[in-house]
Amino acid sequence: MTEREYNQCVDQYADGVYRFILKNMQVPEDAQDVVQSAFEKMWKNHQDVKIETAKAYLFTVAYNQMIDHIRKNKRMTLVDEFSESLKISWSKQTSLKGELEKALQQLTPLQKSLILLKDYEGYSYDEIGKITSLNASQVKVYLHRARMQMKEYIGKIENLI
Amino acid sequence: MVDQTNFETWFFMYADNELSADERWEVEEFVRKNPSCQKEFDSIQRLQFHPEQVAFPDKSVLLADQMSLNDLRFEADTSIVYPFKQELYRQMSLGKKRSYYSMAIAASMLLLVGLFFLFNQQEQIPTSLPVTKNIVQGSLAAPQNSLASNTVPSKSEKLTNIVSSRRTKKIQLAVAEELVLQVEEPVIVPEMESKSEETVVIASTPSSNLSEEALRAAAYRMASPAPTQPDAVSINTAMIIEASAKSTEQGRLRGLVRKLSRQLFKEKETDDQKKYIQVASFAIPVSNKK
Repeated sequence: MTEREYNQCVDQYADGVYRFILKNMQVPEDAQDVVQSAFEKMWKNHQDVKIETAKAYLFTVAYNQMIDHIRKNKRMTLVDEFSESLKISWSKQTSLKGELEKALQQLTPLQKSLILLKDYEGYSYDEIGKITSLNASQVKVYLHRARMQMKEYIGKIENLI
Repeated sequence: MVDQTNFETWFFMYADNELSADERWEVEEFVRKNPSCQKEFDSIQRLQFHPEQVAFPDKSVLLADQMSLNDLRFEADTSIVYPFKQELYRQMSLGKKRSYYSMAIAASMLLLVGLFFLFNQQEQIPTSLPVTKNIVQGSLAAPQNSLASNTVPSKSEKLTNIVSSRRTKKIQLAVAEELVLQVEEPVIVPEMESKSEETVVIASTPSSNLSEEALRAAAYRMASPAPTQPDAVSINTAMIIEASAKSTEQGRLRGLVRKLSRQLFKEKETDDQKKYIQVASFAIPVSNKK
């Protein structure tokens, strides 16, 4: 990958990677750090990375760095999730988008990543599996389970309201 | 094939866009034929996230120019060295030495104590064994001899034991030293004498050393117990210790002391001439001369 190609990747994929990470992590500063370090890593290896696989490479590196970051700050994340769930219990927002957002935040980082890679980027089970180190059938099962959890969650919220 | 058992999975795959055109048509056909599944189908379809307009705030920091700045790193100047490194070494080694010193002292003390106990035991064993053997042999004949010699003392000459136990942990040793003492004018309750048990009197003047008289008294005392009660002396000792423990408020130690005295204090006669006081595994010979 040439320097020019690398800069093309920044233009094309930076927003997508950032969106994917930000939806997962919820904290813009953390998401920006993760995206930046993913691009740093690609720059270091830009001689070896091919332009065709650059997007998948970026998503894979960013996903792994995000998981590392979440593991390091697991306690804080848990507290955030708890306060979030409290808010959900008492708020009476009825918009589908808001419900979906909250339902997504109930999921694990892996489940979130599977859904976002599928819905945002339109990756296939196989491609998602390469990014998240799973096989296609695992991705399928985990993804369906995650969606089922979201469905149940939204059903509960609707019942509460 | 979509059916009532697996339609949910098909609905999910439909939502994930993982089906071919034919399969999608099949799912849609199934929903049309089964209106009861319409709600489920819709609820799964709406669990979709649509890409939002989120942009990375400042892409310029990701561009190659900026990234190559990160490559500009200082190389370590190895010519710069800390000038007082020797001091650091010395301090560290001193600290280590100190810790080794204390450990070495502790280990050697432990070793010495261990060796002391080891050799102490080894010394005890050979000396004690033959004596106890003699005692066992002699003890059978002892009661008959004491009967035959008929050396039961008169009332006025009755010997009593006085024990004053010390408040130290080495109470058995203190008891051994101060056990026997003769009293010229015993303060004795007359009824007690009529009984077969030996009378207990606490002396008004406690003795601290083994005098000639005390040894003689011990000899008398060993001759005095009745043959039917070989443990009378030890019981008596226990009683004395108990009494003194009460008086000196050593109630806690009472039970322990009683047990110790039973174990440690045994008086035995080997024959008419030689008598021993046995303390633990030691047998101390006592002269019988008057």
